[in-house]
Amino acid sequence: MLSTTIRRYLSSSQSPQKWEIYASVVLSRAPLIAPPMSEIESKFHRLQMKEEEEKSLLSNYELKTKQDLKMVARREQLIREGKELSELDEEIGVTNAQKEDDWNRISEELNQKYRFDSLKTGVTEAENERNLMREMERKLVLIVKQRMGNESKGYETPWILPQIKHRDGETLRQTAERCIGELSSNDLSADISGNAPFGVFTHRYPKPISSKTGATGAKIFFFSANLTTSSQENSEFKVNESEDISDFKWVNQQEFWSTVPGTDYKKSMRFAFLE
Amino acid sequence: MSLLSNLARLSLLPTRSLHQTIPNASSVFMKRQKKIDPEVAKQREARRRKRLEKDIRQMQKHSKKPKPVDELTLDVKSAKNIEERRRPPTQLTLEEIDERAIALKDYSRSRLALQREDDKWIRGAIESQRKALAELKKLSPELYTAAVQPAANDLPLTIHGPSLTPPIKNYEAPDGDYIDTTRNWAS
Repeated sequence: MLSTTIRRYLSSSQSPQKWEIYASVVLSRAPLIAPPMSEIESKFHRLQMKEEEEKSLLSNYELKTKQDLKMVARREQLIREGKELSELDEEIGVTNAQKEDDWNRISEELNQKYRFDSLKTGVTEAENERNLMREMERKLVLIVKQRMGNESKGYETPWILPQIKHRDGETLRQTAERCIGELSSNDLSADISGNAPFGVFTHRYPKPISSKTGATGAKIFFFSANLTTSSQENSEFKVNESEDISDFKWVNQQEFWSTVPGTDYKKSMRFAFLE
Repeated sequence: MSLLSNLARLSLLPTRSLHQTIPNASSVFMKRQKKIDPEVAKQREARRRKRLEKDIRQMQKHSKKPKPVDELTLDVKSAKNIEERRRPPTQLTLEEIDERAIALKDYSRSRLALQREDDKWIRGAIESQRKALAELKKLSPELYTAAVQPAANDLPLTIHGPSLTPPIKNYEAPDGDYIDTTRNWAS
């Protein structure tokens, strides 16, 4: 026992490397609507539906439609012959054509009321990158510019995933939870998946910083988290700009790749994207 | 004299303390029992027994019946006029047949590509996590042991998939009743 502690002590004293531990959260918003089908998919879908219809049997509704057509034909025949129509009135009742007209009217009204087509396009005004409702069919990820505690100097990081330094006595997941908690002033609920980080990135500090802090660099551990639907509904998502974060936006995979610098950094968290 | 004294002693025996009351049946608060003809009683008894036996038979019959699979049972109502329900047979041209076959092949190829992508992603993610954990173990064994604990609170996880239209803001759903029509097969 003693020997192991000594050995550990020796080994730690031998290596001058000291790393700061950071937790970083890939906070994502799941797609709100299903993306449109690809060309292959839609073609297959169309043909498959046709084939299924050919092989199917007539439903009750279709039988009724056929019956209706017959009744209408008979009625016209009776009119041509100038006979009484009263015997048919009860039999006809409400035809399917009338029903369909009603349904079409109602659907038209609903469309007028809610304007589904315009909803689908989402937020187009100036492509507001801060709005949670943009790019509804894509997965979006939050990226920020952080001050890292150097507010006075006006320092801010390039676009990165929100990150926070690990404190003694808490687990990494608790650190990640704290990171989410400090992001937003209003209620923000997000589910972190799992206790284990899914990726790590090693960041070596440049000489002046490392000599000042006494650390070789930072190990950033990534956690993934999903916004819960309830916090999406009150979509006035705001980030605490006063404190650590100076800017934020929601980006999709391609935008993430083009705005965030550092290929290794991006590679270490690329598994957060699955579309 | 001796006989008398003997009798007196007899009366003092402990059996004397047995307390006897008037039979309850004669109480005014009780309903008087109707006298039934033994023949009728016998008949009633037999009838009751028969009914119980029938019930038991019914229960046994139904207890052995498995829960029906709705998809496999024949819809009797619709099966009656099945001949009316046939559609006129369709004649496909050669081009149509080709088009369908090609579409099917294209589709299955695209699914395979998708599956490969998913598989690659899963393998990559597992590998990435393994690396991260190994790194963490080097830095701090305590954090590592905390990280490999199962996160039981995250489960069960419910995700509502994306719909075709986005949610309508401030939508008030119309009132309605919730009627559960699920049949109960328990017991």
